[in-house]
Amino acid sequence: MGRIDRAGEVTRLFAELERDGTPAAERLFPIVYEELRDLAESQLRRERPGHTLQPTALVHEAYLKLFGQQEARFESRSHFLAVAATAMRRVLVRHAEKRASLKRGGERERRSVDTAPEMAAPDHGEPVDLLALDELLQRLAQLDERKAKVVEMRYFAGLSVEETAAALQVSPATVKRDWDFARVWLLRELRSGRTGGPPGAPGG
Amino acid sequence: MSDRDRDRLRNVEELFAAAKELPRERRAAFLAGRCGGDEPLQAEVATLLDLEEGAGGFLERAADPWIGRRIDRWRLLERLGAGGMGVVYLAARDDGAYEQKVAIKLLKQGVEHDGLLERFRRERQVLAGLVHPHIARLIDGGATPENIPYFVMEHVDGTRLDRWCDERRLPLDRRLALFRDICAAVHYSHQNLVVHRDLKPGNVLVTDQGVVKLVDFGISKVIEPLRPDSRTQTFERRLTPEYASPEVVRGGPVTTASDVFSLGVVLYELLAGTRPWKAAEHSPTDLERAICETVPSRPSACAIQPAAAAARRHDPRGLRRALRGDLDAIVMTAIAAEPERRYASAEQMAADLEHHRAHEPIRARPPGAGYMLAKYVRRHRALVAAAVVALLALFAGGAGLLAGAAQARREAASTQRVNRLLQEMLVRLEPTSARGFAQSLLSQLHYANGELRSGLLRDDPDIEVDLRVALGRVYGALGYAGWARLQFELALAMERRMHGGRSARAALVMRWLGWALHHSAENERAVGHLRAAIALADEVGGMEQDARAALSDLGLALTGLGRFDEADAALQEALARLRGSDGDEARGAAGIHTGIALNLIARGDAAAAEPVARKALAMCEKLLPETDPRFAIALDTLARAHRARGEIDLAEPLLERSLEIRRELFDPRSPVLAWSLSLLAEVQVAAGRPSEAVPLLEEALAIRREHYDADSQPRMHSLLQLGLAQLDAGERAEALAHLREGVAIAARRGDEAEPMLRRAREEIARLRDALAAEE
Repeated sequence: MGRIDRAGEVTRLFAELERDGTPAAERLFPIVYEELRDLAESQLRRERPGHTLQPTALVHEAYLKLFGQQEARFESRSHFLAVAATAMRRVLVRHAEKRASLKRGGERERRSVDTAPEMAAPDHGEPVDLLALDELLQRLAQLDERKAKVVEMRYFAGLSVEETAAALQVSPATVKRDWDFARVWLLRELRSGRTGGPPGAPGG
Repeated sequence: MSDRDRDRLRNVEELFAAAKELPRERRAAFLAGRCGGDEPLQAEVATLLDLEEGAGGFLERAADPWIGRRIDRWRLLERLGAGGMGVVYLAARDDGAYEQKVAIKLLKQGVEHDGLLERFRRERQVLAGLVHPHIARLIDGGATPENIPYFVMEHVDGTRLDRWCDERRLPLDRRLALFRDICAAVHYSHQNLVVHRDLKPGNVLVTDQGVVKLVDFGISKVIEPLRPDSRTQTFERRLTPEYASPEVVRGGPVTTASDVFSLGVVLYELLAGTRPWKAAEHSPTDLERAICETVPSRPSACAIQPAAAAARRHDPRGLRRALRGDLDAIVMTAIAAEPERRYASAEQMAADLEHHRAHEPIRARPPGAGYMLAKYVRRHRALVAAAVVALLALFAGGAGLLAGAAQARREAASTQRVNRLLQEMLVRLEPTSARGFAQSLLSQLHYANGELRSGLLRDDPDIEVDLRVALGRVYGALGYAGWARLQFELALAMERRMHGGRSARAALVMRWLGWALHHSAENERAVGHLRAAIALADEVGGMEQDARAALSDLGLALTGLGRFDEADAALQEALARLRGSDGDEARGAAGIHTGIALNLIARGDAAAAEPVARKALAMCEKLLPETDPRFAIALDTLARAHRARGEIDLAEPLLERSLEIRRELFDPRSPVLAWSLSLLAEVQVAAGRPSEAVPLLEEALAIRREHYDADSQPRMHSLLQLGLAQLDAGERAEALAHLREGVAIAARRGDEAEPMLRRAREEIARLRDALAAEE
């Protein structure tokens, strides 16, 4: 899509989003995904060893690039960010898969420690195995879709509790509860190595 | 996954949430009680609770490396939100001194840091001195070890103004009460010589107790250096354009009056639920233009959504009624385009609101229709003149176009019909903006064309010819040479059928047809018609001005065909004829000199062209108003002379100016604009800034796609130019697509003359190989 077309399309969709919410969000997805992918790729290309990719910054960068400085209603901005979170997740997971397959020659292999150095924040908390996280999130989504969404939004797009609540149309208290629980659930699953792959494949 | 699994998770979660609230000692007992002997369940929840203790920053911190970090004496706790300037975090005193919570705004990477800390230090004194119950205090500021600037501000636990009011469905009087507090805060700060610069609902928070607090006072001044940078891309602009005043949008200084303007926009939205200029309906540059040029609807007259009305405890009709009169006047005064027409201070504005509340008369008065129309006409004289003159000439009786030719008798009925048609058209013209006018004029032209096609003047083909010529001229004035050409062709065909084609009117039509053909890039045919027109005009006699104009256009057409000597001959003849006459001499001369210069440039003699082009431009500057299309042409010509001599930095500002003039005059879909964009883009690429050129070229291509045939030269030219620019800017995939399309058109046209083709083909081959290697 040429830039003019895209900008026009996005503006139209955004106006729709302001009016009626979710349906336009789905159509925004491919555009947002493309934008994020481009931004991520250009950032990763400039990667120095130990360089940290900041998904939150990317999402906001994409937002500004697509919408400029429009004063959007808080809710519709949150809707957008929700879409962006999904897109961001896809971008990062794809990238992690590519790296993993390059390193191991093909098999989508799991390593328990730090497959994607981009997500590691060396001085804060433990590094996260992105591919495992992605798979666990899918599983969580089958058990409780909202909790998975909360994690997706807060982790991949860095939405605040308020923003997440607005996007999901629930109270901030609900978001906090979902978040607190989902975190430990994921942590447990991650540590137990119960992530997929063919039966009998090495876990952690 | 089954329902059983889902239920199980829900159980676990409920127990987990409940147990978490309890002190650790009580949990085991609680769980034992609630699980009723289900040991696996109890164990699972217990495990999760344990994990929770040690989870630390899992997922929490990795996503945002700032959380948990310490900045000066504060530790960042959680992300509150993000805006254009940066991200805001909640932070608390780390030394445990006392429970002070603050908001820390970290400026986004890439924000202009040069001299920022300097400016901040200067401003800090003043900003920190702003102490007011409705202003969030600025406490401190500095830079992190990585040199990221930050501000420490009083944390306001509140909601945005618009949301707060809508959530509680506040009626108008309560909203106005809040707004008066805002005015007080703004006025206080103005008295302390601080201008906010970025007033908008996002910067007005309301606490749960209903206290209004303004945030981000004066911060924009610190962030943004005073010199405006014309190269800045739109999405880097710090000010929110939707709330910015025209003088600020144009890059002028920010004053208290611009704050008043922004307040006016906020009030508009607070009352009517919609904004006077909406970003969603415009591209950023269009939005700015709209803000500078258009007068928006009054709040009571705008599109009020039922939901918005409900949030103000009204239905749309009731809300309109409530807004009509005083509130309309107050808002429109605050958002007047000229600063001197606005309220002199926020206090004055609050005073009028207070008068309104007390049912006393207010100071402001709504702008009259006469004022608006006068303002519009002043801005768009050239466009109005060109279009309306042609139309009104017809209005006056039918054959006003023929210079000096005798008027034949017309049937009264036909004249009536034409007059009525013109009246209808004029009435429907919309004078509130240049764009609105041009677009509605265009539709009226199409409408008139439709009426003619349906046989409006079937009984009086002579008048139809005149009317078609008039329509053609107006199409041409708007920049639509293609549609103009159609009218002239029809008119000529009819004229020939009726009178054999040897009349004065035939000469006139041929001259205009030639003009339109030249501007539609069909120079061969243009030359034919123009030569015929000149010969005929000389034969008929009494048509000196038209003959000269035709000679001038002939020169341009011949230049376009590369027949430089013939072109020069035609132009010199035009000049000679000009000297032998009187009247419009100087204006005509400017156009001819421009043509001579263009011819010299085309034949490679830019050195000789420059003085001629300069002379032409000087003439234009003396005689023409600034927004005149001929002025733009003269600017272009001088620019091209410079460009041909490699003087890119001299060419560029001229082209920018001429593009501005054209944007002012023409409809954004006008092909004239495409040409201007293409010229400027070419220079930008030559100056090594292809990424600036790309959006211009995309715009040009979009226009040309709409107006020219699929295999036309202008389309091909745009595709190739855009493709090559994108290539230089690193957008390879898109470049390849455009280059391919352009080259394909060239093949179908059998056209090898285009200089960009060779490079295009080379790059296509190179790109293909490169992309194949990457896969």
